[in-house]
Amino acid sequence: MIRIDKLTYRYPGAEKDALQISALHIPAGKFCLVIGESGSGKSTLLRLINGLVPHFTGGTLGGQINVAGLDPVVSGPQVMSRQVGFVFQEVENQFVVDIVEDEIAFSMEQAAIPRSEMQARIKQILQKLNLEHLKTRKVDSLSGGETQRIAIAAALVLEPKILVLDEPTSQLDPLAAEEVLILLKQLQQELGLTIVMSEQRLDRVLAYADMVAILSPDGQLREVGLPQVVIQKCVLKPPIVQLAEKRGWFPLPLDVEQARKFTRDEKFDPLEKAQFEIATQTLIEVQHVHVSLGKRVVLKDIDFSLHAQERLVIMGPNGAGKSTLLRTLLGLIAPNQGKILFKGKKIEFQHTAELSHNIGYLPQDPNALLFSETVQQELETTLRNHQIPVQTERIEHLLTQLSIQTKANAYPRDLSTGEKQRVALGAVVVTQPEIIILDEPTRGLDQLTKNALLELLLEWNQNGKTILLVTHEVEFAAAFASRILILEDGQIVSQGDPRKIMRTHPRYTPQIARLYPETNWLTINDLPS
Amino acid sequence: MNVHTYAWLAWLISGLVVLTTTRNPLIILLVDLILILFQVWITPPSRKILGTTLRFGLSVLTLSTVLNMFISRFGETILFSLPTKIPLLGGNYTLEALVYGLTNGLILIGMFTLFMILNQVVSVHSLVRLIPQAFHPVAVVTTIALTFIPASQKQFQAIREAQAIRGQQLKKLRDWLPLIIPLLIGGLERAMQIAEAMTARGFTAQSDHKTPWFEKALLPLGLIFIILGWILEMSTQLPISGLWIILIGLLLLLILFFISGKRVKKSTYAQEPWTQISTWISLFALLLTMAFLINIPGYQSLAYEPYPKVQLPGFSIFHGLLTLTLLVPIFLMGEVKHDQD
Repeated sequence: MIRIDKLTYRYPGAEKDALQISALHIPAGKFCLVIGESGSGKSTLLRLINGLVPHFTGGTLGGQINVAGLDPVVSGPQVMSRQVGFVFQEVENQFVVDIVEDEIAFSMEQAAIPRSEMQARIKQILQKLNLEHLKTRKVDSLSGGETQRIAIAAALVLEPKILVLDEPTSQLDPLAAEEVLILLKQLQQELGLTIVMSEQRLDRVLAYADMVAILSPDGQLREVGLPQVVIQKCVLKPPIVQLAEKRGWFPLPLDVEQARKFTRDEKFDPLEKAQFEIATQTLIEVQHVHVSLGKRVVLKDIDFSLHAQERLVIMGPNGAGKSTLLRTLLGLIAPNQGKILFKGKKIEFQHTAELSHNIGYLPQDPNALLFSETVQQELETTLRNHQIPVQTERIEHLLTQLSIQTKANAYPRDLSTGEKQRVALGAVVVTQPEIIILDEPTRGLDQLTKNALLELLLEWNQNGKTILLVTHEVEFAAAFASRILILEDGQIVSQGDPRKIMRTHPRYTPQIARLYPETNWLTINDLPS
Repeated sequence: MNVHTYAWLAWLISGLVVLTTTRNPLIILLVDLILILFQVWITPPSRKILGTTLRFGLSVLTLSTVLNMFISRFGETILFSLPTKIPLLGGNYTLEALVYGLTNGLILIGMFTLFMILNQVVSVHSLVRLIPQAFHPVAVVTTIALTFIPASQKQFQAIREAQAIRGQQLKKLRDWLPLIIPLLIGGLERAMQIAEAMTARGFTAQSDHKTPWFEKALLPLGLIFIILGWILEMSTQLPISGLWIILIGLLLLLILFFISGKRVKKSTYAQEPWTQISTWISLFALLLTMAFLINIPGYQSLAYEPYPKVQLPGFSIFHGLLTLTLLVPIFLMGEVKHDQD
């Protein structure tokens, strides 16, 4: 279905090739997973399949590519849209119109499909994806999972042979992500679709793939083949694969279900994880807080405390009110009822700008923070805003901690996703706040960058920082949290020791805990050597 | 029952015709009251629109009246005078200027309320769908721009918050710089993403067909005819009427749009049914438009001028009654289902 030979591609003005693929063949009806670090060329490869690269981007292309019998370079994206459905990473930015049915109809309107056929196809695709109830809804009123499924419906309505998805689950909670992946597998089997998908969260998707292609950081196709074979040569391995390699399990299991047969006869002494002692000092007290945005009640009777040197992780489905809660803690949203105290003082009497001196907050989108000419200036600006003298050594030390010391004079918005995120983090923690609050800090990061972030946060915590973060990443939360708080439908449904909370809520159970339900283990590091 | 967008446009045009063809303050005041009543009726009570509209109306009236009194010093009925040695402000302030300014304010309120009502009863996408096929790319770009506005508002809020959490307080004009740069760059990035998504879904603004020569000639020809006709119309010395030449120019442009539209290979999903109510609303709108354009009994009272000495305006009961037809949609539509979103 897709055949690539001796392909090279270079972006306009670039000094080196973004992509070099000697040979790649994806047979019809296969589910191909494309993995690699940030900046390795995954998105470029996906965009080559439907001709967006080079038609939209320009640049220099060498070699050959054949997709469903067509050359996308010759045919162009408009012709290729009949063969290739494309779902972008930031789905909300790909919607053109505001109503679900009109959005799905958009590509059919461009293809001049008669109205009666359009109506029939929309009905059919909504039925197939179980989305009929959303037909007349506004796209901005949909949940994360619904938005993703509507984007898939819009991509499939022209009945393409190939579906290409760029990190489709990166913004979804574990349950919504699993629903999307099950749907994709179902579509592959029922329609004989060829699926090409890039993804960072291998623990979620590996078991769904028929083949895996690994791109190296310089854009070369390093490995391609069966997941069981290719994943062994990959540095970004999910916990279950790491465990299997440690224990020498064969054939290599890719998910918990496949691994269970190896653990049936295992004998072990459950490891008692050291109890985290809650420090006596309470930094933030949230007392019976209710928050409404417009007519919608977002948070109901939220009551919890954040203690000194804690690592509190808030988890919950998309739309549960997690980000709203964080914004309320910073005084960006005023509660309708209840109060929030920072070190015993009501925050409603303090401006966010003042609070941010002691509470560093990194929002989901780091781009919103970045506007200076250089990374160094970005950090200096925060210090000046707080009337703190600019000390070069302090900035240099922080940049080194964040591993971006070589980028001090770079333009922040030109950096990679992971680097931009670290610059933004630097810009909010340069005041050395007591508390660091992070909203989805792993969004868009590859596994290596996530691991580096995890280590950095743990180090800061050991040095006395209190950290509160929101994440959908179960494995990250398991490795980091000293306490977990589950928020659903605007209410706290559970909070406490991660070992207990993550087990009692199956959607937040990490792979190791699912494999060894009778132990206290959450991550591979908890296992006895 | 639904009202077709064309019917609403006919209603809007009739309202605009009334507001632009008369300067009789009594008629305009009546139209304003009718439109405010209309707006209150179609707005959910929770939005307390009456108070907002009255506050807005009062500020517009005050502003337009005061401004006109400052600018226009004509009129025989002097209300008060300021010493002429005061630059700009010195001189007579007249009742005629006050009435003229009030009338301007009433017209502005009427127009604003008309568009507010249209905005509430017709979705912008329904209006965009009316753009001819020949302007398909324009229609799509307009649609995207409309989707872009709420997205940009959200982004602005996010950036404002992001800067606040870095200790930024918006006190001086310079403090807004950190908000503008990410907003502009973010907007451009989002525009690129939408353009990319549209391209991937088969949208193209360029036709593959070569445009024939006569089609290329239609646009300049049409424009030449319109300009020529306009010049002739302006010239009082030539006996030829330019109106017909303008019409020929417009016809040529219409032919161009028709031919170009036929070449756009595109279909439309959404379809608006034409209902009986739409017919009635259109007919009443036509009636109102004609009544204010044609010289019928009472027509003279529409042209009111307070200068040089203010007099009570005349009032044509016939025209006054006809303005009530602006309320036809609410009588025909029955109960309004307020959108709680």
